[in-house]
Amino acid sequence: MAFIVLSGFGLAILAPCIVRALKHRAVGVIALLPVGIFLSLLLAAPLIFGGEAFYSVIRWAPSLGLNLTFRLDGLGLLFSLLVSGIGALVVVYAGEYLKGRSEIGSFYLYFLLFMAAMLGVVLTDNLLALFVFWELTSITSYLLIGFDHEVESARNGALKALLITGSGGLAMLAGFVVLGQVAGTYEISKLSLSPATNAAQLTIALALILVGAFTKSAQWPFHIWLPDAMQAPTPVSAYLHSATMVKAGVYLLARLSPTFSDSPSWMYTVSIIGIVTMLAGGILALKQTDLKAILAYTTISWLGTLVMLLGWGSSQAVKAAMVGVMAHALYKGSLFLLVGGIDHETRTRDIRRLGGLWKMMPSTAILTGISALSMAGVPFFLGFIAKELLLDSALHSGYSATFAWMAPVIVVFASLMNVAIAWRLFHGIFFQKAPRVPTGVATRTPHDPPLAMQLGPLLLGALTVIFGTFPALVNSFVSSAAGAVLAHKVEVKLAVWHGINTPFLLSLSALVLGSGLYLIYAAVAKLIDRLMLPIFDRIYGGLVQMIIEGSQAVTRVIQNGTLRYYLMTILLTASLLIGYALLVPAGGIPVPQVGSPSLAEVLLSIALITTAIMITQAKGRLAAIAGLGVIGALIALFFVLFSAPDLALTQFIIETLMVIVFLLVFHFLPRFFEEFSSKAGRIRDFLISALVGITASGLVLFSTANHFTGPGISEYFIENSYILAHGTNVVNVILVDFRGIDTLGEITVLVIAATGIYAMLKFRIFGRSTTERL
Amino acid sequence: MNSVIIRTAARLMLPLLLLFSVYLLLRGHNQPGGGFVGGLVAASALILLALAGGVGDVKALFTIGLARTAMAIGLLIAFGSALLPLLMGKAFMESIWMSDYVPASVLPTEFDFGTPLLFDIGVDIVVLGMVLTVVLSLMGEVEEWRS
Repeated sequence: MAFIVLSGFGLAILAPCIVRALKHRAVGVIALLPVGIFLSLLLAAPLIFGGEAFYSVIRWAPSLGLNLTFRLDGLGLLFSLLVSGIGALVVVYAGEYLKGRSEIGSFYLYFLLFMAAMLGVVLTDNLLALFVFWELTSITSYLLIGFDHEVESARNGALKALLITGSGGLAMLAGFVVLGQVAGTYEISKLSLSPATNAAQLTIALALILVGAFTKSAQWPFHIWLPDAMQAPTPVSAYLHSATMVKAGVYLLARLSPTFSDSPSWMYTVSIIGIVTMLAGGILALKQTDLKAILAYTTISWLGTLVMLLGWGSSQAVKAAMVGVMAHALYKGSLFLLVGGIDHETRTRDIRRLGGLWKMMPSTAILTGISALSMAGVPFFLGFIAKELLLDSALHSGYSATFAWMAPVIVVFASLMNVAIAWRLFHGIFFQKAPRVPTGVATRTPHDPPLAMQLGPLLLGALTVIFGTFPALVNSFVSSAAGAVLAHKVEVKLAVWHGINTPFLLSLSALVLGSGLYLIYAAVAKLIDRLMLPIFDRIYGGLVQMIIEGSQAVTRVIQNGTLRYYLMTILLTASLLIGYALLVPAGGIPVPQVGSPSLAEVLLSIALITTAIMITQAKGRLAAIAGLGVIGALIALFFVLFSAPDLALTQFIIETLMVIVFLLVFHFLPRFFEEFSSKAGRIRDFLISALVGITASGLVLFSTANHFTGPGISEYFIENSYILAHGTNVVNVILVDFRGIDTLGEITVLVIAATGIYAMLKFRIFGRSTTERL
Repeated sequence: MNSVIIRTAARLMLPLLLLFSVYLLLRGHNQPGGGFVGGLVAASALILLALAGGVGDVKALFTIGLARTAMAIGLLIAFGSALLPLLMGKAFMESIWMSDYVPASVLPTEFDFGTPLLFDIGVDIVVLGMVLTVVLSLMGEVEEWRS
């Protein structure tokens, strides 16, 4: 289980090396992994159908509730089969599509990382791990959309997708934390069993999680990122932005519906957002002329449909959603791959420039036809089965009687738009007579792309027809997936023919009306173009502009390039905050209880204070640096007095090194302080340092005055140092064991700082030109 | 500061100080010492050499490139020691001790080795590499500026 997810990350790292070593044959090797995952999932399928669930745990940070728990049940099985199966086909396709590109190694790196992360999303059983995988899919999606990074629109599209899905992901994390706190566990499978306790908190959690799911699945009004994501290479669009990643939101809704579906806000919020998205996507799709944009908007529309179904949440609706996920992945994935082939051959994706291609690309035409028929919902194609279920559940939507009649009408309306678009794709590309705008783009006569690029559409098309004709084959998949969503056993008996009933008549009327719509297509598209304004794109643009300008303004103030002001900002902020905390919530600084200090302590203190005053009077840098070194050494002596040999040892060496580093740095500064600080400046600095000094003293007095009752943390460390950590030097045990993760972070920072200093000196970011040293 | 006396003394001190730094590192778990201070002592020994005879003297022994590699290796060791327990079914950074797996009769008396010590070795190497990278680059700049 864990291996299925983690192996993808492993292979991803190796992918560039494999590509370099094996050149074009690398594709075969890389494709072995998704194929292997697909087959092993299929082998596990019969057990899942029997009601079992596979489970495996890797403990990560158990004290935080963060475990890499993986769980394979019916829902996970359906999605992971799609991810690995389509993944394998797209790997093969991309090998041909990107042939000759030097960056193909990094393409497979990102691609496999995405696949592994996506498998993680659908297979993990821990909310926090799900978030990590979720954000990984956002990041890899960013890298893949911006794959042609020299193209500006690709970079913008990538950033837009990342900003929208990334911020949605953060909202979702907040929601997960609230949910985890309320439910007392982050394990999803345990979540669904515990009864809701705090309704208000649960509503907050739900709202935040919905933002995550809606941004990821491109629901209105967050849908604007998906069309721009079409800048990605076509195999990426087919895989991430149609078949898998955009369904992550749908997956999350399905996964959490046992927890939330009882809440009344769930049904209305989710289903209404779904409906708006479904309609907006369909209407916007009608006016597009770029093939990929058409597919993107129909994808949005279908995602809306799925969300609407999960909002309804009836047994029939969930079944419809599961069949819908499958049908859509098969036909839309295939359509994207075919459009990629057409683009590859004709060098254009503008439907106004295309036409009459069926003679030149007959097999592409047939495969497109199959997918278009499934999209339109014609019998003997899987899309038909999905549409029947969809219409049937629309008839029992669960809305109150006043609105109940609207659901089927809306669904039929959305369906007929799909029919018209299917017509447009199939007829427009292959049969429409002459291109209205002269082509002249392709350098040679287009013909069917090579086999590697047809394999995917061929297999997906075959499955569309086979499952569409013998839908009983997918019964167990749908019933186990729907069973996981509804948290009870579900009987599924799919069939092509149910007799002449309401859903069938509705489906038929959608076909007829949709075909009619295609006849008046041009006029409708023009009308939509005039009515629909890109409002949300403008809002997004304005927001981004505002954030950029705002952060520039903040940066100008805080990071103005003068070290002195940086220090001032940091010290003043810290002093004011700490000072406030000491004076107001803590109620003032306690009066120190002076015991009888020893002679050594008195002498040391006098020496310290005298040196400090001397430093402030120093005229030149050397005296000041030496004075600072003396202070450090005197403090080390204090540590010796209070028997802290570890601290004293470290302090001595650090102070020595500090003096050396100061000397080296000050070498480049003016010799005397007067040369770079005015009188007024020195008075200001005096006030600030006095404030800092007073605050620091107050803080020390506060923390040493015995405010804390009960056994302190130091007692715990001292008691357990030997028992738990096999060490008698408590200081060191704290550093390497009790507080080890802090140390790990600190040494990482050290390395970063040293690398930064080295780079700044070596490459002369300031001053001399960089080429000189390189 | 090009005095023959200091230069010779620094050379003689170098092996002693390096040995002392290893001593500090190894005894750290039970007595004053540890990876951090051990790395600092080793770095100071080399910096003493550089102060006495110029960066050139040190570069024959320890280049900046080597110092940067040391940072990377140290960080790898530290992360490795943190990840190792995961392979043995424990949590991230949960310590593993040899004495938990090997019977006490086999081990020398008072001897134990575990991931915290490995981690400390990583810290030691990172600190050594970090201090040398910073100080030697700065010294190189100053020397270049002077000439």
